[in-house]
Amino acid sequence: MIIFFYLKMIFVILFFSTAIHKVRYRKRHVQAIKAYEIIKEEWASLFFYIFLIFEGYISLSLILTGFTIYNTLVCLLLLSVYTIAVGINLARGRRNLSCGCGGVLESEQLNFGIVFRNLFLMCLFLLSFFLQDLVSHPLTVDQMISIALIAGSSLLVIGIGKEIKKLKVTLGKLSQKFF
Amino acid sequence: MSTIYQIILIGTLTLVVIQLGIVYMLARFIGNFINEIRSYRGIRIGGLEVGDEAPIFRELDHQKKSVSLKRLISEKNVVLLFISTKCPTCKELLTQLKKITEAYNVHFVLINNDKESDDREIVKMIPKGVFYIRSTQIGHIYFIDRVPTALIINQAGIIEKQNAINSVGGLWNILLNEERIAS
Repeated sequence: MIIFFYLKMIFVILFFSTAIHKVRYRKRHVQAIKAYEIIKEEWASLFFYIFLIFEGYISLSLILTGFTIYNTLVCLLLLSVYTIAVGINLARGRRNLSCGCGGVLESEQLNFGIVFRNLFLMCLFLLSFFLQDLVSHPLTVDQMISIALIAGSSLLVIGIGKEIKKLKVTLGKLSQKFF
Repeated sequence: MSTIYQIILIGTLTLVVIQLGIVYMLARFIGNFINEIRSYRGIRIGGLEVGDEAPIFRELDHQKKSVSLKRLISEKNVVLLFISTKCPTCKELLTQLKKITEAYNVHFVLINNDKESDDREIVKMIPKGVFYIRSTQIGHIYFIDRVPTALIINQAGIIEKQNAINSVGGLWNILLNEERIAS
């Protein structure tokens, strides 16, 4: 039960943080959707709001009802769309554009890592949905709070790792210029 | 006793999350701070440079036609000229655009980073064949910190030249090595 609650909280925080990032940097995300060159530019804003609503729905419904067939389908649909869009652009040989993922998942350049990451997240969501009923031991409130905090910490550690990696690249470029 | 341990555990975990949050914010802050430093003692350290791959974009121009950088560079070299509605040098450059487009075999994309002001004067000056886009976002992804700035992107998608333009002559100079249209 602990592991499913942990995964649930990971997905809640992940989708909530990406939705917040999209709201904060709306123009940047709309531009990223346009830059993918898959849909007409006029539709970019519409798709932006659809993605935002889906992400909001997944995080809210996970908190309220846990893994259900509806949020599982929405999550699979959303991640499939993202994965296909990234895959198409990689197939076209275009890497030099922001993935527009938002939050700790944001990446300045497209790469196959994003495709594998999305596939991994899809499998994890699907597994959590199918296996959650196998364990019915309920958690106490303090256990839930502790697990939610651990999930938050895990994502922050991933975020810090990514930021440090970016910093290392920037500092590497700087040292090439100065020394 | 168990309740005290639970409170201590949750308190400790909360502190861990807060500390990690602070570290994350600090890392982002340092990253953004370094990116904001564009030059140090005359050495350009931020943004894009000659030889870097040009970020791809797609936008609608003033005639609501789609302008895709990917498609344009597949045809010929592309000149991106970043301007602003209220910049006098930019308007001066626009008077030369017709001559330039007639002389050089390049695609010309004019990007106005001012989306608010009345740009009818600029639209009137745009010759046929020049794409005009109003976008703050493109300037942001190209790290443009002053206008007018011109970039030449070759057909491999690499930035060939990048210069801040101070006069009409500067715009002609940046195009010196570009393919001319046979007259």
